Amino acid sequence: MSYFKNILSAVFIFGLISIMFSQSTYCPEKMLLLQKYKSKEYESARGYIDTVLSQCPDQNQDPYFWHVCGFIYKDIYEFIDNKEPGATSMANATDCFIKSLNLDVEKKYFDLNIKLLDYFSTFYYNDAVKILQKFDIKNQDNAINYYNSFEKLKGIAHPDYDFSDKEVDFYFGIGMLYKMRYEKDKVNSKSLLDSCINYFSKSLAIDSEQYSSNYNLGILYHNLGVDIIMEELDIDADLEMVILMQEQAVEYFSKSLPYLKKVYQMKPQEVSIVQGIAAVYYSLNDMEKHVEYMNLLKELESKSGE
Amino acid sequence: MSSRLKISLLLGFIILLSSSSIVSQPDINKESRMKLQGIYLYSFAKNVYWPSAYSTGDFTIGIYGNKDLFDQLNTNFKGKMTGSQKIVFDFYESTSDISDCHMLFIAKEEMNTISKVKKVLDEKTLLVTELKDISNSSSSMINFVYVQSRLKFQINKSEAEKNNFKIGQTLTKLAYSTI
Repeated sequence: MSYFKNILSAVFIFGLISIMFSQSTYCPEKMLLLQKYKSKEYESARGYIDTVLSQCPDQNQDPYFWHVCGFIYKDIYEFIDNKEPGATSMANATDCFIKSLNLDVEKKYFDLNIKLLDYFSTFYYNDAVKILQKFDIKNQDNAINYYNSFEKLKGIAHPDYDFSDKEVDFYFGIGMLYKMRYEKDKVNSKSLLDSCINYFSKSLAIDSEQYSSNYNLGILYHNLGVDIIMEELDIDADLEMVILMQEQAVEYFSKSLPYLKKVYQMKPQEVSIVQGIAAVYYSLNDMEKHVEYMNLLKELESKSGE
Repeated sequence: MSSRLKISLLLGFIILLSSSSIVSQPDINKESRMKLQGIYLYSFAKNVYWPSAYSTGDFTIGIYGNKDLFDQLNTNFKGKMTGSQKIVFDFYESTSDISDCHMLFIAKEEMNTISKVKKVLDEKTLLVTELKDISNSSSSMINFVYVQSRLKFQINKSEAEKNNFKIGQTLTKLAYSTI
């Protein structure tokens, strides 16, 4: 953090000199704002931002002004909001740094603006990950918003940044949250199921070898096939309905198989995968294959028991 | 710049989640298959017409060779009716146990005993069997068959008519084939 402080002191000195010697940019309210900020009265400094803009409208086009505003919000985020996830101060700070960056034709503040945007991108990413790690389903939308902010800021800071690895993991993580929400109330949350499948698929569209998304889609489709028969099919259903629902179940079982087979290639010793494949073949009435995988399962279980 | 991207933590989280996902127990797949068979048997009871002499008292569905199916039917279809008849289930361990029933289901594991079974069958019994393969033939009246992973049924109309059973239109329409 002392890195930013040292650079900021230099920027302040430069800024104050420019203000004192340039009539066209003289703005007493801005001087007050800087004083408040220097004396760490962050809230008061924030209060002056609107005053400056109303009293000195030309400041709206001043990259230095927005750069300083960014610092005010940054310090509010760190020292007042205590880096609270999703704090408005963080969004305000990044908005200010982006404005400064866009207005800074001479690139006087370019390096620092970029570093600060990169710095905030890290917080957004970590806040998004924290939600996933805590299985905090209530804040799922926030996780998506934070992650989008991360990509936006990181993309500005490092235009060539490759997001693939993070997108693969993040989409999978969001897919898992949707899965948890769906499993809490299967009957009333079919749209959550679609979102879950959509996010796992997005993850696989970037990396088709991603183990966890393949595994979970395989399990999910298998369980959907079972649920249709065990949970949704009424024993009094007429035969047309039975045939339709069986059709849907077979479709799910058939969808499950390629995902489970893929993860089997990756982890042939994983009991739950072999068990899953055997179960799917049983439900598809391919008894030859079912027995083949049941034998593999027995081998694995006897090995693990040794 | 104290906070670094938490890539390793996210990967750890993924591994943890993956290992905690459990495939449904294999038994659930058997149960779902039995549930389908049960619904079909129940539909057969409702959509086949027995001679009027057998339309009073309880309607007995016998199960030979699949105790799990019997248990499931006994639990899920308890108290169900067909017309004015209450459906009851009976389980037979061997051919000698087979007694008076309206419908008898023979599991595919016991199909080699079908000729023996037929000898002890009452004329009111509709015989339902499970074919291992559609190409197998059977002298029963309704056969369960698996066609492209789907449980379907085949009606042997001439065999049914021999015993004066009338197969309802719904069954005829939805049967995989009628022979």
